[in-house]
Amino acid sequence: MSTTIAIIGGGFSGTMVAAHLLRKATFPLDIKLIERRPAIGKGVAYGTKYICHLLNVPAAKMSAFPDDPEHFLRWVQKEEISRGNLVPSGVQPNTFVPRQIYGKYIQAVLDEAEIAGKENVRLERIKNEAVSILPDGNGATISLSTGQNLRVNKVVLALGNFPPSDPFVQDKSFYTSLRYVSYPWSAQALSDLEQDDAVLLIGSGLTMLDLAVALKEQGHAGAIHVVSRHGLLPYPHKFTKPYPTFLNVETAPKNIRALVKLVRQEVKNAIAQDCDWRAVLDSLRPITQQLWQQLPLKEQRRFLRHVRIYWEVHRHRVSPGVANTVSEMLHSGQMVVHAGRIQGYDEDDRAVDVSLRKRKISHKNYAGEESGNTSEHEVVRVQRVINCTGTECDYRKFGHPLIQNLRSHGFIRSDALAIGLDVAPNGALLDVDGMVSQILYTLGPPRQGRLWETTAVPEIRVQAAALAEELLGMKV
Amino acid sequence: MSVNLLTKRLTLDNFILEMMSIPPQDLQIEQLQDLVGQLDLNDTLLRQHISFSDRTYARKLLCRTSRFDMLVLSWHPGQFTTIHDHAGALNVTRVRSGTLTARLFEVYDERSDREKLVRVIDEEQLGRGGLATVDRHHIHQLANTSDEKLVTLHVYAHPLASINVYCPNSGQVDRVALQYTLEQ
Repeated sequence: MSTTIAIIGGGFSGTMVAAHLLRKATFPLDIKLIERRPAIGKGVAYGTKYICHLLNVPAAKMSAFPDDPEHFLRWVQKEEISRGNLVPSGVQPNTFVPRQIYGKYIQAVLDEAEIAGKENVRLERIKNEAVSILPDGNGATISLSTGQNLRVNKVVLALGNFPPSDPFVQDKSFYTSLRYVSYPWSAQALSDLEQDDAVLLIGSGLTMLDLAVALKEQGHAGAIHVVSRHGLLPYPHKFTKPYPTFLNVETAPKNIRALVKLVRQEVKNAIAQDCDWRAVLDSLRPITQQLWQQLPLKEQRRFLRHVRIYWEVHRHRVSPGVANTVSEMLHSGQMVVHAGRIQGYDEDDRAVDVSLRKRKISHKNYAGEESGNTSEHEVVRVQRVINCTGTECDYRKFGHPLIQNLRSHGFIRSDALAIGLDVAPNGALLDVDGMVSQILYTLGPPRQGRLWETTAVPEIRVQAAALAEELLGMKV
Repeated sequence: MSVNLLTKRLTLDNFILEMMSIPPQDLQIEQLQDLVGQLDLNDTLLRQHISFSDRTYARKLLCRTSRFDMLVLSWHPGQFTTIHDHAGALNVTRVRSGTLTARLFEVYDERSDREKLVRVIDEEQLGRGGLATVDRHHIHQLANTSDEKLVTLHVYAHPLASINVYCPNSGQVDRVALQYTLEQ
């Protein structure tokens, strides 16, 4: 008898679980990969239509397989032989490749795994949406939005990232305006703009940078205002010599203040040895999850409250090319970064006045621009406002029927920090009473509360491989 | 026709006047599509009817006349309607923001008046301003299969008292009386 495993979500996480199952299954297996978008493998991240949206990690570090680090590089270089250069000077190990191309790579990885798979291991791609899952003693029934039911043995929730929430203001009526874009990846986010329109981007992270360079690519000449609480922008990558690990997981402090102090000290030491701070942070990457897990809840909360913003801009860096484009926009005055909060909106027929309450402390970002502290209040008049605040990860806030359904039945629960779902070490979900499911599993962003570092390819590829083995019963 | 051909945006008042000027039995789906396609989507009254609900898509009645109903529907990602027909009413849906998935169904096994098995014969995605039309006896389903919120404007002529809902598994057809959420 054949086993059936359903994977809900065909972005990077779900597609990689499918690929590993195809490669590793030794018994009759039906894999059902359910994706509502027209294309498998692209997800939100790699489905962009803009060629200026680059991977934020160089090609040599983007392999889909942890045990074959050059896999992506080889694939992309082979593509170039058949199709010509994908980027002007050809892809090198340190090239930041357009994200569209990575979407195609993921599709190719799945296609290859499917062709190479055993005859009794079958993959079915289902273009539909799962709207409920009802687990029972020996499997689960999945309902699709067109009404069909699927009977399966195990389910992987590969849900990826959710859209951002609207920033809090007293009067929310502006959020129904056509001038407001609540979802930055909307196909219409930048359409119907006049060339000289002023735009406000809320948030100053990687998503904001994507929107800014896309505006540039379409020849936008109007002002681009950016507002975020701290006004900090992600730092650019720089190739540096590696720095040796300086922290031992066992002896590392279990509180945030001491950890930050240690890292700061080490950065000073590194700079004295002509090393870059980036290398110091990168040396933490292999142990970040362990460091996170041994912090008490109170300290994890402290990290989220006080350190997260600084961690994000140093750790999740942007390609030097994008950073240059944005630096030019800052220097020319086209882009203005405000540190503060939005207080309210006042819309008329032609534009919207957005009032900002500015932050008192000022920072210098990498372009040497100061943000904040000129005046306490400011009003910016713009034709469009785009929410780039980043993914919402509090599962209690999602109106998606599948999440609603799983939560109302108590099959899932948020982690203690409400930044993901409660998950066992093997990826199995915990129900409302803390029981570990034998049926429901997850990977990627929903594991954030448990692992902290779990949203990028290097982490997710490892999880996908391990989860496939777990599902196939290959773990002892 | 009247002055409205000169302006691209049709106000709600003028839409009502236009609709009232056409005898109901003469109204063609193309005419309805034309008029709905001209409506001003940033209309304040329309915006006041946008409201999202976590339980299911939110349906708000904006205006009801003897000739038609106009509704605003607000959808979170993943929310969807039943598979249904409009019991003889014409329907045009316009996307205000987001992306709408419209599926058309056909009966492939009619066992009785109240037992009909249906299957999808067409599916399209409509972006901002896009129009979906449903003729008097078409069976359809609307859904938000995108990652972003969706707001749609719906006009039904004649006003909808009930619809027929098709169960995709059993084939059972149920007549369901409609209830509207009125303004608070």
